[in-house]
Amino acid sequence: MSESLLQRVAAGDTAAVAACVDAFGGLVWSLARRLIGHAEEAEDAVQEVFIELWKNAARFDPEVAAESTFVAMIARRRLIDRRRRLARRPERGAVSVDDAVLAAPDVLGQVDLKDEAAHAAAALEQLKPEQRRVLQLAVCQGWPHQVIADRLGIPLGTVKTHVRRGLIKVREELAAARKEAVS
Amino acid sequence: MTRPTASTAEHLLQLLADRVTEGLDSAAEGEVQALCAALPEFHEAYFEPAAAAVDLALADGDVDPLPAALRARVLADAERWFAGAAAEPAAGRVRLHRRQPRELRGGPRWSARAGWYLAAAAGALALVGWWQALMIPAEPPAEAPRTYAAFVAETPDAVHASWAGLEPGYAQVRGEAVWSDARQAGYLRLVGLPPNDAARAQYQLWIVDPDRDVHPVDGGVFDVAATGEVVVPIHAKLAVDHPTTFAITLEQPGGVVVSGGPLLVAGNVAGQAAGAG
Repeated sequence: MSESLLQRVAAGDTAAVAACVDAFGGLVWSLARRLIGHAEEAEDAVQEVFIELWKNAARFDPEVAAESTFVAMIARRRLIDRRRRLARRPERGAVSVDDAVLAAPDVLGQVDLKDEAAHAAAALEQLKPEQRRVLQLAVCQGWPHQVIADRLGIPLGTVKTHVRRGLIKVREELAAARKEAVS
Repeated sequence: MTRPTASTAEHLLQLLADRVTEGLDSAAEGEVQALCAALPEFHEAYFEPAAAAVDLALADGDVDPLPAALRARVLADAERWFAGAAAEPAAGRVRLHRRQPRELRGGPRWSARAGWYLAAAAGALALVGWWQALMIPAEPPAEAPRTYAAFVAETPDAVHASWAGLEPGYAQVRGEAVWSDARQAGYLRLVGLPPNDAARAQYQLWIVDPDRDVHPVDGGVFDVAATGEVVVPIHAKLAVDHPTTFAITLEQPGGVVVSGGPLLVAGNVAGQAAGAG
């Protein structure tokens, strides 16, 4: 089995660095745009995320997670931390609730999803539409829970419950998939 | 000790869900760490893989290409970072070509004296979780000083703090920290600090800036060789405007976000009276 990009980066393969940026740059940039909003801040954040990625490349274990999941974890952690540091809510720009929901892809139709993302998609399909919508706005768009409650016209407690239960469902799906892969 | 209840677990799950969506303030982070310590089946990163997977699943196909100029900056950062890591593994750092984050002031404004600041900083250093091994602070956009001597010579407005050992085995430590608010850069110079095994633990600098927060700012990690002497640039995680105290702890490799270790060495900025009250 060939080494992953991050394993090559950790091993000192400088050619893998550019390949890694090309492979995951779009992912990190898109995450930053969605979670940070402001373009200049997002650019700064992308640079931070990649430095974080280089530091942590040696910690990547392909037996535990897909490379894209690992990158997304590192990026989300750094971006959420940065957003709090800036005490700035993500700019939602022209995206309305309806736009965001409409933009949410048909997860069943994403046949090229791999690994954790595919299992997450399967778990999301089992959620009620409102739960899925809340989770999408909270996780992918980075909307504060109160904003989601206000926009969707549902109680804040319901939003929080949807987020919590949705994540539990996805986590269970991932755990089951991992268990199946091991056995 | 009271046995955690199901509702405690549910409360922790909600905090963990909030953590990967909205983020938590420092008080809530502390609560999460305390609850995770009481409920070992949970950990701070409990929902992180799930949130990442949801993000990938729902945003798949909605990926914009990395702008060419930004790609070039990322690659330039990488080149410097890896060059630094190769030359000095403990200090594999890079000055990012970006703007200084515009910190929004918040939280209480400290009004007590430096000794009290130090006590407050020690109180703020709390529990550490395994997940924090991944949570290595990003390097700030500090203007990279060329050398300690040059920095001191070229930065007349820099503040100085002389080190004093606080724990047994550190009484011999001498040296100073110098810091410039304007340049958002500084240096540590230490003599007599016991060498560390970088594979097991690294020294970590903390900067107390009561104008910005009650919690100390992470100043980066460093190693000390057998000579016991070290001169390293300060890499503050956040903007620091009026530091009053610098302190050093010994932490897991890579450092931590919140420390539980004792303050080994500390120095009050000259002009800040030591001692509480």
